[in-house]
Order: sequence, then structure tokens, then C-alpha cells
Amino acid sequence: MGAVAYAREATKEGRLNTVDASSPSFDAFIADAQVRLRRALVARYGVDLGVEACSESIAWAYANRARLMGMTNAVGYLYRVGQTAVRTQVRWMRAPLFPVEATDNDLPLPDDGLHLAMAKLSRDQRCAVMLVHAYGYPYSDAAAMLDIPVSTLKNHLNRGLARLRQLLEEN
Amino acid sequence: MDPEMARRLRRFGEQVDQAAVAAHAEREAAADTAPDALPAVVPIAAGRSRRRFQMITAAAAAVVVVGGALVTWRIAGEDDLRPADSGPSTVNATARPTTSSSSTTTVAPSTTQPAIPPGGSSTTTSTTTTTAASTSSSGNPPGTTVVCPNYNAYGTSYPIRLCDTGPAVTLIQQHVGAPDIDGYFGPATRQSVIVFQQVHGLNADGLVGRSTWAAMFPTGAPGTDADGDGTVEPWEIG
Repeated sequence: MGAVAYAREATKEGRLNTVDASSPSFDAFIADAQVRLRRALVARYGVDLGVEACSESIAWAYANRARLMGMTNAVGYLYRVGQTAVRTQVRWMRAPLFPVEATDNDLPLPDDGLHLAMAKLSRDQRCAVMLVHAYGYPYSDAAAMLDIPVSTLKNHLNRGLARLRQLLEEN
Repeated sequence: MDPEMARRLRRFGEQVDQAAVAAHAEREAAADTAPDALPAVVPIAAGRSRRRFQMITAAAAAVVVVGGALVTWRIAGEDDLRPADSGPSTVNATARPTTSSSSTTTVAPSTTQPAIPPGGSSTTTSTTTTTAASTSSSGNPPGTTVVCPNYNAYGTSYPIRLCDTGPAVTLIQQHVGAPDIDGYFGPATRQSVIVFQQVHGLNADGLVGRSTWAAMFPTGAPGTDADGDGTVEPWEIG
């Protein structure tokens, strides 16, 4: 969604909501978008490649600022830019790497295979599961970040959760 | 969704966030301190052209290395160069990875922090160089890469390294997300270990030493602590 429309939608969630001609709206928009972009791209490609894709995407945003401000879903477009930026590395990439799940006393775990199970999900399913359940974004926000319809997101989410449960039970 | 799984996923999200923020900060710091640091905002097309130029340069350098090594080999004679106790293997196969040329060549591009994003160019460079070095010193036909023709059981000391094999290698492969979980510590497993070490802020050398082993199994590896030192070492895995 464009920066202004995005800001109005974001009011309810307490996010960025002040965009006008006199404020540094673009920098504030990028600061908020960067967090979302990094989470979406890291969910898709793992920590290293996801961070690189996010950096490339933000660099593109600054270089194409005017074009970005006129878009209906700028964050979704930047997500696609990030995907394109690392497509060569993705070709050579093996399983994405995530940090090992930490254990603590109030949540005993039968095993520590969550990060391995997550890596085995498809990229779309992993993005959906992480954005909705790991980061707590509502369906509409997560779908906008991934530039897909809400129905598609729910599809990925249901299948991803089923596969995740199956992998954890196998482990 | 059951509450326990929801809590696990939320906590996982926090951990991934922390790792991503740390990786981003490290990347920014490396870009700022590199001698030829690039401006913070770099047009994406320029970045791709630079990577393409580096890939071409690396490929040309690899061709020169291969050509020079082949010429030297022909002049010196095959018998003089081949180690007496090796079969089809090469210097890099029997020597320890820390001293062999191909391993060193493979390690260096992966662990440096260049101003350019490390993903594409370094991967390409290391792959090309490994192939070239292995081919030149092994005597194998061009296009054949033999890094570990012989796999050896690891001993009772750290680190677990390239060309080792055993049950601990299987555990390591499971933990770092190696493409094949077969108990053989090959180049692919080594690369996965390097990525694991980078993510966890360890010395990314591809060797599974005490620190890396502890990072993989913070609550202890599955096995019997035979020596009673409070830690299940790789050679104590059943």
C-alpha cells in the first residue's frame, strides 16, 4: 500500500501514522517497512541471505523513491525487489539457516528441532507461519507484505502448520 | 493452535529477529570498515555489475591457475608430484585441511568480509577455485573434483573436520542443516558448518571445535559422558 494509505491503516495497530508533506514521511516509512521486510525475507531465505535481500531492497527504495511513493503496496513491491536481488544466490543456496531454538524452564521441549523443521517447509509456507504466528501479524498485513491475496496466505498457513506438526512429531 | 506451539513459535520469532538484527549490524560494520567501502545507498544495477565483474575476474584467475599447474605438472613429471602413499587422492586429500592449498583457497573467500555482499561472488569464487585447485593437484580429468577420496574416523580430540566420518558427523549434519545426512564430513557439510558459525558469531572456519560443538548442543549432546568431565564429546557419541 502507498505510504499515506499505509499510515492510515497502521493507526489502529499503533504503528506509523503521521504522514504529511512537511514531515520526513519517506524516511519514517522506510524505517517501519525495513522491519517488516527483514522479517519477511529472513523467513523466506534464512538469516544471512534474508538480511542481504533486505539491504538490497532498501537501497533500491532510496534510489527509486518517487516511484515507490506512488505505489499501492510499496512494502509488497519491496519484498519482490528483495527476492529478485538475491535470485542468483538462491540458486546455489542449500537449506536456510535459522538459530537453534532456545530452551527454558517454563516451556520444556521434547526436542530442539523447530529450526530444522522450519527449514524443511517450503518458502511460502514458512513465510506464512512465521509472519502470522511467530511475529503476530494479522492476515491482512502478512498478505500485503508477501504481496499475495489473504486466501492464498491462509492456504500456505494451513498447509505449513500441518507440515510443521508432522515434522516435529517425526523428530 | 495449541498454546505450547504458539509460544514456541513466538519465541522462535524473537530469536530469529535477534539473529537478523545482529547479522544486519555486522554487515553494516563490515561495509563501513572495508578499505574501499561503498556508499550506504548503492544502486542495485551497479551492485550486480560489480559482482559480475568479480565473477569474470575470478574465473579468469582460475583458468590461469589451472593452466600454470598443468604446465608445471607436465614438466616435473607425474611420479615426482604424486605422494607415495596416496591412490587417486591428492595433496589436499591427505593433508590436514588447515594446511592444504585447496582448503585454504576454499576457506578464504567464504570467511572474509568484503565491502560487496558476500553471497553471490564469494560462493562463486570459492566453488571455482576449489575445482581448479583440486583438478590441478589431483591429476583427475578436468571437471572432476575430488576433495575427500578417503574419509577417516575422527579421533578423540577436537576439532571434527573435513574428510572425517562417524556418528558425531551425522549429528552435526542434522544440526547445521546439511543437504545430505550421511555421516561423512564433506565440502557441503563444511559449508553448512561455516554458515552455522557465522549465524552464531563463532569463528567461521568450518572446523567443529569445542565452542562450535557447545553451540550446537547447549544442553548436552545425546550420548554417554565416558570420561566424566560433564560434557558428551563427539567421540563419546554412540
